[in-house]
Amino acid sequence: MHAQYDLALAYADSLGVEQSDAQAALWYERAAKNGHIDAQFNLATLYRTGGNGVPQDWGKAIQWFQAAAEQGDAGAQYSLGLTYERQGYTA
Amino acid sequence: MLARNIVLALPTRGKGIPPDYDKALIWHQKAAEQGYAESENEIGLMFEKGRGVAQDDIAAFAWFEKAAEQGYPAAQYRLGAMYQMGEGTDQDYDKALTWQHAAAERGFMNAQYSLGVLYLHGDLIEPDYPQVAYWFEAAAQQGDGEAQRYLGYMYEHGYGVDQDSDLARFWYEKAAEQGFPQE
Repeated sequence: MHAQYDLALAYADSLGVEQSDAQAALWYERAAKNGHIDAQFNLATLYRTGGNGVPQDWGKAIQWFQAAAEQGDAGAQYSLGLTYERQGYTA
Repeated sequence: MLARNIVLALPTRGKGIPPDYDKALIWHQKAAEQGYAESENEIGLMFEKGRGVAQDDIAAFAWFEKAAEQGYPAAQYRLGAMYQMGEGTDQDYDKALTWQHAAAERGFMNAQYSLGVLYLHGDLIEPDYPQVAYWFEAAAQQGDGEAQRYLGYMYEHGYGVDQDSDLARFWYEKAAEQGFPQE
């Protein structure tokens, strides 16, 4: 799952590949489903703001922040709280 | 390992899903239990504004204090403001100054502006124009329109700085661009 996460980061930050939010989302999701906390967090962040080819989706943002939050990640707990406060707003 | 892509931009009005403050509070409390200052500050804001909880300045003060003591500038600024106003605590200008300094020195713009105002007419504090100019300039450099206008005034009249018509005009123009015209 670390390789999946690293590949997602490469697409997100155009490291050696052409930048693609959609490809980043795909690989974040594979790592996230394997329980990778940072992948869950970054995928949630991507859904909260929306990206190129990734429509904003508050439901999915909450789903993945919650996955990381339930693993005890304080930053994800904060972001989940903030998302519940601000859902319906676009960043 | 690469850093997370943390994006917490300020929101603008969008689609109509209402906030869920009950759930927000639950998760901020979990983060706060781990000492996460941002969530402590957020709970303070919820109590200050009465969002999802009954408005309670004393509770807001306590949460801002937790976050402020961990060095979180936004909370230091709010704690300073509460000491200044006597909200949720006894009014205490020394503590207001201490906390606004803490936040201002970390570059928190609103605290820099507030510090300028405190030194300008803090009631119990003697006006200190060099300090006023110093902190208004710090806030002005970061784009605070009101600080830019006051700084223009200080340069125009030579309060706390050497009189300088060019700098006065410069800051007045900056302020006007942001909707703070010269009075």
